[in-house]
Amino acid sequence: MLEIFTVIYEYFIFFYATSLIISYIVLAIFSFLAINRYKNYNTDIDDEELLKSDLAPGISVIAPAFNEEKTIIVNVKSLLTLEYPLFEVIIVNDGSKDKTLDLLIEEFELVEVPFAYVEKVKTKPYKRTFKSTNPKYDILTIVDKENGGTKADAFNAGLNASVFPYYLNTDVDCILARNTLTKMIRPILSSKERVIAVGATLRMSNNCDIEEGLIKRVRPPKALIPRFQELEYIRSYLLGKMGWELINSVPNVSGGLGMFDKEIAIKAGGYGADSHAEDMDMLTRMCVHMMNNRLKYRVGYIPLSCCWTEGPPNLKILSRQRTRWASGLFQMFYDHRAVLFNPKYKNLGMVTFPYVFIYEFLAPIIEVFGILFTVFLLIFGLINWTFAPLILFYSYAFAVMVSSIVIIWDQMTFKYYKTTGEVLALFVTAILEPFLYHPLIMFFSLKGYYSYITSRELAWGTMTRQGFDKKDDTRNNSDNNQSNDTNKNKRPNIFQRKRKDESGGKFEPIKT
Amino acid sequence: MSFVEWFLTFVYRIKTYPLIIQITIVLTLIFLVITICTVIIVYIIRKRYNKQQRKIQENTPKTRMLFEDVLFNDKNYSAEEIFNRFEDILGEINEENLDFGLDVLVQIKNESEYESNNYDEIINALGLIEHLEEKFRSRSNSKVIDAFQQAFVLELSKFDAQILQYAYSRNKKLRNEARNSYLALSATDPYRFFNEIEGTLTKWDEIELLQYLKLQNERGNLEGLGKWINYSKNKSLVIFLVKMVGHFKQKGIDDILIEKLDDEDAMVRSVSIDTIGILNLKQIEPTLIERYYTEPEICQVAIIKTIQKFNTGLSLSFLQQAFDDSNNTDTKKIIAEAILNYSYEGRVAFQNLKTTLKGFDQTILQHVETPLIKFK
Repeated sequence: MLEIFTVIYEYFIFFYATSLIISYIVLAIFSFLAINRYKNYNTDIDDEELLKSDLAPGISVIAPAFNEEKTIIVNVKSLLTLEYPLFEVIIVNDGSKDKTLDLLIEEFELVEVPFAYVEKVKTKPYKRTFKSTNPKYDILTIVDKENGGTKADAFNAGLNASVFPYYLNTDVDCILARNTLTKMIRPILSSKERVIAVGATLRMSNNCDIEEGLIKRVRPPKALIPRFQELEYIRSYLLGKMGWELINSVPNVSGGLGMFDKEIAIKAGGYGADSHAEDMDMLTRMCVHMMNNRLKYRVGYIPLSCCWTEGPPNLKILSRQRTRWASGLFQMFYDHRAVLFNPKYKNLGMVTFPYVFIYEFLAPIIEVFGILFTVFLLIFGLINWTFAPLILFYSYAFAVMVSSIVIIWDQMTFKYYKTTGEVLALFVTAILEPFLYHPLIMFFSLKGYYSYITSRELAWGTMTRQGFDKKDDTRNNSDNNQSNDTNKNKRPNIFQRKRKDESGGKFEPIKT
Repeated sequence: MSFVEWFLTFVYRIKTYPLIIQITIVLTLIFLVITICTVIIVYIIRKRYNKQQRKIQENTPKTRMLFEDVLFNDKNYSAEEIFNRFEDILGEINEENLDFGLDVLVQIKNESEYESNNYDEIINALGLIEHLEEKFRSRSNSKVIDAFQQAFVLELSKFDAQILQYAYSRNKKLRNEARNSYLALSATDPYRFFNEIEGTLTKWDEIELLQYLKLQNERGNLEGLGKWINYSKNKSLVIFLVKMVGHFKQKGIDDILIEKLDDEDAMVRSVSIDTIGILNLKQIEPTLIERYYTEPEICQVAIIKTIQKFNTGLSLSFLQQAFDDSNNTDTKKIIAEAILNYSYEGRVAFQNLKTTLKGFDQTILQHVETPLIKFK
């Protein structure tokens, strides 16, 4: 019996690993082609043309803020310096308990105005709208609402207050490149098919030089955790999403930076208000809406880094962030389970969703099972010590190679780092990552799944910001931790949710 | 033991392993080799890039100064002088350096607030036309696209032959770019491809075509666009051209615009109504009001905006009725704004509405009236 189980398990792992490796190779080729195509047909002169054009469509930049007093002013100023002929900036104060709103009112000379706020997407109660009396900030709108417990609810409020046909969702802790809007709107403008969303690459801002909300000098983070995350992001965006873009199967446009077609977003029902993976949830809803209505669409991606965000400086914050993401992923697959392996949803149902499910969602479970199995084999002395290290080294060498290829793709696209040493430091990161970072991510993912199943409370805004003035870190970290406790979102556990579904709450793809 | 001996022993040992392990070892070696190669490639890329950056940093200000001297200061440099000075800065004049010079020139043209008639002096002195022709012949699509754009920015119109070879290219993007660019860069028949535009125009096509039409307008060569509006079967082109008639305020196609009010496509009707407003064809006002309730939302919005533009003072009651009848908040905002800006009587009517209306309608009026809200 044990022997049969061992053989089946070994075959499973063989096919799983082989298919994963093949998929990475295919994605690497796809992303190479997509990056080259992008580079061939997009120039900076296009930006100039767009900036001078009377036909540039308007864009609403929406950024929710919850307890962001440390960075809010610098980051809003950064958003206001974006270069584009027609845009507005909407900051949604999601019931912050700290001085976020007060600081905004003081700095930007805000006053309450009568605002015809239409709830096209349901949110927690809207309170009021502020506009600046200083003409310098006339494109800024602050929407104040009751705390919704998720970033998704805040985005929905921003969506309701926006006026332009496209919107860019971002976080107030993100620093955007000044040409973000011109670069990200381009796939929408150039496509004959309707482009419902566009994504771009995010990086860590931890060691970058930032002045007046602008990135002056890009550096890889010095601390290990954000540096690992920098490499992880580059790999995920340049190899993963850019590769998927070639076959119009991008699984996710990041909540940190994504441009969306507002009409489709609203028709798709907006962001799932209780979602903790609001970005993937939103894109899935939009794609499902398009397919249910037999409308052609594309999801675009550009290989440029347009957004810098603060990476988790320590394990505690990394744990919070990853637990929330993993829980959100679980929630996403649960809510959209009708899409998985459903041929009706074409690439989304048969390629993207299954891929993310098998190689991202199930990966931590398979890995932990592998570790337990190895322990079992160790106890019973069944490990072949001649071959086991070879196979382990094979996996390791593959992981390092993939990261190395991604570093080349990154250098091909745009050379963000100033020195060769900084690029080479990423190679060192790639060598260390499988030992130090990957096990942590696996552990936090499992923790997130567990949290979702047992309905542990989760909060948005749990990524404690250090801000750009790091002197007060210790004091403020504890402040933030306290305030996060007040923003907890009590959810039913998976069994309660299932019962609710059976009694009529079953997922039905939205049709309009 | 020498390396060769060690290697042979290693190979011999591997041969005794199961096939799957042999494959694993070979693949591991391949992965390692690829990783090492990537490190070397990145190192080489960076070295080249750093060298190029140093060159740009050192030479851009000097080149810029030279070009600005020629362009904006009245120093009369001869072609030879310009060439020699450029050579002094960059050394040997090769393709790379000419590309660098071209980039700087394009940058100046794009950024400069001042006009200059001396661009041709630099272009001729450095042989940039020949260099651009070379770029047009390049196998690299990105170089060709670059050449299209640089030629456009520098307003060079001597590339008919070069562009024509791409206007029928199998590469869709290149073909599209060539056909659009032909409008700006052709000296003989710039409108040639208006009759051959394939499929729907993208928004980017529209942005490019507008730029090129502006250039033709500046040169005084902008033709009447009515004939294409009349004959073209391409809806997206018709919509774009109707918009352009409004943009350039072209006269003499009133009948065509009125005819387009009966087009089966709502978008065509909508842009035609907008253009009628821009051209101030006030005699159409009663027709527009008559059609209002039978039109879809997009056309209704266009009618309201057009009536606001006409500002005849005759349609205030219509606007008030439209405000009452509308259920769409966005449309209501537009109608309220139209009433507010509709002469003195409009402002009075707006204030009256404010006193009579309650609830959300009242908020809409306050919203529209608030000057701090820039985008209503």
